[in-house]
Amino acid sequence: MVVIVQQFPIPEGKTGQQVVDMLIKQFEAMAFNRIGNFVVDCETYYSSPTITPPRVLNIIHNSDFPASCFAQLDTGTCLRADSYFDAMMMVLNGIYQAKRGTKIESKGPKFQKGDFVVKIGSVSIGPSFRGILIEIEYGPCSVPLYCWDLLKEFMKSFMKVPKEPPPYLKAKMGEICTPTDIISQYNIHFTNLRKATPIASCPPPLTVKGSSNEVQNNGDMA
Amino acid sequence: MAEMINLDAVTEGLRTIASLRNGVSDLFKCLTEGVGGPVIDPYSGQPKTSDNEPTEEAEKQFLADVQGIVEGITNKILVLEKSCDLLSHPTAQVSVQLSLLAQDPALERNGVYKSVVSCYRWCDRMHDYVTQASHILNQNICRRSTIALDPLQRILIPGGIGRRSSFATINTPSSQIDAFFNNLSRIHPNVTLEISRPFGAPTVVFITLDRILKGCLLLHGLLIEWVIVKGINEEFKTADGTVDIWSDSRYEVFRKISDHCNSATLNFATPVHVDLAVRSWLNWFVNYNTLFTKPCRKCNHRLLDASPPTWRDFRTADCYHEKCRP
Repeated sequence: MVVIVQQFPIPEGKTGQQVVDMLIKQFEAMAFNRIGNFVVDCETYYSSPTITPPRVLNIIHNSDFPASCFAQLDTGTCLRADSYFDAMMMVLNGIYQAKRGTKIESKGPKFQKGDFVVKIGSVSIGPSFRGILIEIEYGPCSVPLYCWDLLKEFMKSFMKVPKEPPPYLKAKMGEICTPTDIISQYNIHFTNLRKATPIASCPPPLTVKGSSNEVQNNGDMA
Repeated sequence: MAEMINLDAVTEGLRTIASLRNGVSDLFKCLTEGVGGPVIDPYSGQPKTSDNEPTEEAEKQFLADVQGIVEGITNKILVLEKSCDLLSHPTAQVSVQLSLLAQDPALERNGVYKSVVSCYRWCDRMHDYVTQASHILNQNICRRSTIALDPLQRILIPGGIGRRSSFATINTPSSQIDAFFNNLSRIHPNVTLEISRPFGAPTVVFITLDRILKGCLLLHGLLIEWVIVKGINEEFKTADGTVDIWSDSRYEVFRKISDHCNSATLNFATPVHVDLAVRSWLNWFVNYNTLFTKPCRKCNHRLLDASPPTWRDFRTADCYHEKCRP
């Protein structure tokens, strides 16, 4: 599958919730099928002062890969592990420590049309709304180079299309796309959105069926 | 002529002959025994050891016996002659018929000669036709049955059957199929062909086209029986390693292409040049390497109903959406 994650611009004078509603309405009009909800969450861990140079570790869960847990260092190295990896982070508490209130998540509805899957994610840190991320997934193709034009044509129907592929994808145009690439793209966007100023209007949290990661984590810890 | 024969006389005559033979054998028996009973003991086979000379009475008796028997024989001969007289004499007529058979037939009276001549010509022509036909048929390789592989026939027809293609039957040896696909993979460098035989004789060929898609061909001999197409990230093998040739791809695009591939199989199929059918099918299939990149020739768009152009023309290899097909 090829996945592209794009930030959806929020026009001035509109709240994030309004934009999300507008997109949902538009997708329904375009005969997209709503196939549930999704959530991607990311927790940041900082290394203890004994480690030089200091490292930042992001632990990311994706509801599309419920049995997996992704750990990505700020160097870009990504580890794909079982969801039990969360329990291991507890053991590593002395080396990597989570910073309170840095958990960022993107959640929202999922739509399907043909072999395309589109996810509208509202990004928030705690109660503070940060923006909208649109994830477009095309399953049949595995190499971004082959289907970039196809994806552009698809994206054109509901959003502004970038002329160039995003820098992360551009470096990997000729390679086979893996779930790690999805996580990496989310991670890049999360890092950018953390720095961005919070947008006042936060959409009400959606009830997400697949967001069992937190529950699992708690269970592991217990 | 048969009704002229007096059946009663014949029966009487035959009966008389039987009694005549009986009488004659009686006479011989009597003469063998001689005067005064048998000289040789019939049980032991040894001559009787009696020194008694035969009496006069015995001699008289013996003579009377012989005379009686001879008289009986004479009477029976007379009866036989009588019954023979009662029969008609067809012998003369029979001889006439036989003489007729021996004569040279007159051409104008019976058509034997004509018939014989036409029959000979007919046979001669048939022989010519058969020779010609066997020559032509031996050149033609259209054989659906396995009879051609009968070893006896190979011996009968020296030099084998004049077949140009060695793949004409479904009983093609697996080594030949392997060699055929090895050649094919050399022609198409972006195609990887992997041959396996998980079900015994039928060959299953896994085709990987670049990094676009995967196909699975089920072959019977070299006849394509089933095609299934899946994405590059999908598998044909189940978790326990068995080959699954029936389950569809989870993507709509490849389900559609599987359908097109099966219809292409029918389009390219020929009973005679089976290898050519596979070759042309693969030539056509290779066109799917532009599946995601090439826009539809008619509408010039890549997407229609969120699907790329899945149809490839059989002759021109142009790509079309299913709804844009000419």
